Amino acid sequence: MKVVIKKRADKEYMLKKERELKEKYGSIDSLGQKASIEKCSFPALIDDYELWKAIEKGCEIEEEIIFQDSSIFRTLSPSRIEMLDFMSKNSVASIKELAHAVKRDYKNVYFDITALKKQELVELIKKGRENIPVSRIEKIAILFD
Amino acid sequence: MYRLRKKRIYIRKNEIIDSLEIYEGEKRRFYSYTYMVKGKKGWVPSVRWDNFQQQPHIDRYDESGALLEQKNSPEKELEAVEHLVKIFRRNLVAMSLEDF
Repeated sequence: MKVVIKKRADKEYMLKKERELKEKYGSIDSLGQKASIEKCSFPALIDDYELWKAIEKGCEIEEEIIFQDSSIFRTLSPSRIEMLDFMSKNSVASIKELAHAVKRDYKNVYFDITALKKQELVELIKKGRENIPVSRIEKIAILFD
Repeated sequence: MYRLRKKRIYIRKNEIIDSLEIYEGEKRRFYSYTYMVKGKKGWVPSVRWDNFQQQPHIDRYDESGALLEQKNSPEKELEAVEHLVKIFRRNLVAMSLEDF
């Protein structure tokens, strides 16, 4: 069996990714030079360079996380799935606001967000003093093959 | 039209394949498949196949993520890499993979 989690990559996500790359490397040319020189020691540079080139050309992004067994369901409890469902349809300004919206205790929601972030199912975007929880998940599928 | 396909495949809890493929139309222009093992400081590359600058090759890394060797290798598909990793897992690093 396989559990396939498909993530959404909209224009906002692409802009965010481009901003992150710019902050990290300055320009695409300097990253290109760095990747050519240090490609053996830091292979992630190559991926970042190719990713940036593709984003500049206006590519479409398909992103998936695939689990070969059902272990992800230790993380994906019913209440966490409901939270992901809520976040996929609504945006919240903070974890506190999310807790209020799903009518759950802040401490438990914070704990759940931390667990989901560990599996890269949720991202926390820092804005001022707040950490904004964002989920890009659009589909979770179980495949029996 | 460019299309980027990014996948993270969990082989086990502490072993993954990170895949990045870039297509121009139907043609795959770039690929990288990195088999990584979780160490004390996070994910460490163990074996990597990519075709950066149109040179398909395979890189092998030690436990700290330092490059051990780089060899030419035929173009690879994700399915083939996934199959190899599932069979040999951590033993891959000690194997001669350029002919696979």
